[in-house]
Amino acid sequence: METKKQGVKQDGRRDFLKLSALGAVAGAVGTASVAEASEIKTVSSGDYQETDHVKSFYASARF
Amino acid sequence: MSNMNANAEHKIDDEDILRAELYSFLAALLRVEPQDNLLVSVSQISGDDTPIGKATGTLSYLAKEMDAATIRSEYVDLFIGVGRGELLPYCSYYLTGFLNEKPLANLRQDMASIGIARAENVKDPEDHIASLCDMMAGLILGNFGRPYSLQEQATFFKKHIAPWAGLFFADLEAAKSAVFYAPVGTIGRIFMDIESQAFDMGESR
Repeated sequence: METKKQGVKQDGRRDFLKLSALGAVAGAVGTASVAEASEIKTVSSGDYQETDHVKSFYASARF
Repeated sequence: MSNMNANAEHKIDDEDILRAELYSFLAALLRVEPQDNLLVSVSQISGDDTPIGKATGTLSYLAKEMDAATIRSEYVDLFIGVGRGELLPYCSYYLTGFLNEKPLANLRQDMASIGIARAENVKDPEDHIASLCDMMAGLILGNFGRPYSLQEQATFFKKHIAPWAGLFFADLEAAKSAVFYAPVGTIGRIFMDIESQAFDMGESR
């Protein structure tokens, strides 16, 4: 029952997103803009990279 | 390309792909001065009668009619400036009045647990609006190891984006220097509102 209820809510969300017509913007530009490089990359090890920039940030922030 | 594999294994709804594309679109327009190829593709969008479609139509018209150099110098006035731009599109600034404060530290913690970092060539702090849009797109599409559930997306959005992005986009819409970027602000503001409402519908418990 719980899953059914969740399913109904999901449909509501999907319908809402359809009605909000994101496609008017997104579909049209999708491939062009997505091709541009993202500012974010995955870190292979899953570890946070302590670059110099990050180190100097921690040094200055003193949390 | 590992991104493709993740997509193939896990079916992502069309609506969610559109969300990711819209995030990537905003990121592309906001991360640096827009280059000619981006402006050309923006000029080819048609828009429609929905609020977000109308703003897109305006943006497309401006991309066609305005000089690319003028658009790029508008970007500089808005976000770089002499000393500082008209707007500071950082979560930390909007929430605390200062750059590089606790909200940035919180974001870096969450990025570390997702296993992502800022690309080497990027100098802006990670809580820049364009980086956050890139992160949302990556979470939705599964570019960071796996697709993140709606619940996880909602948690990230509510913590790092919802508290300030709507306000930032409204500021962009109304900024003194904004002509080309005014409809970008409109699109972003409406989209943030749609996202907030949709996440509330999607939460099961």
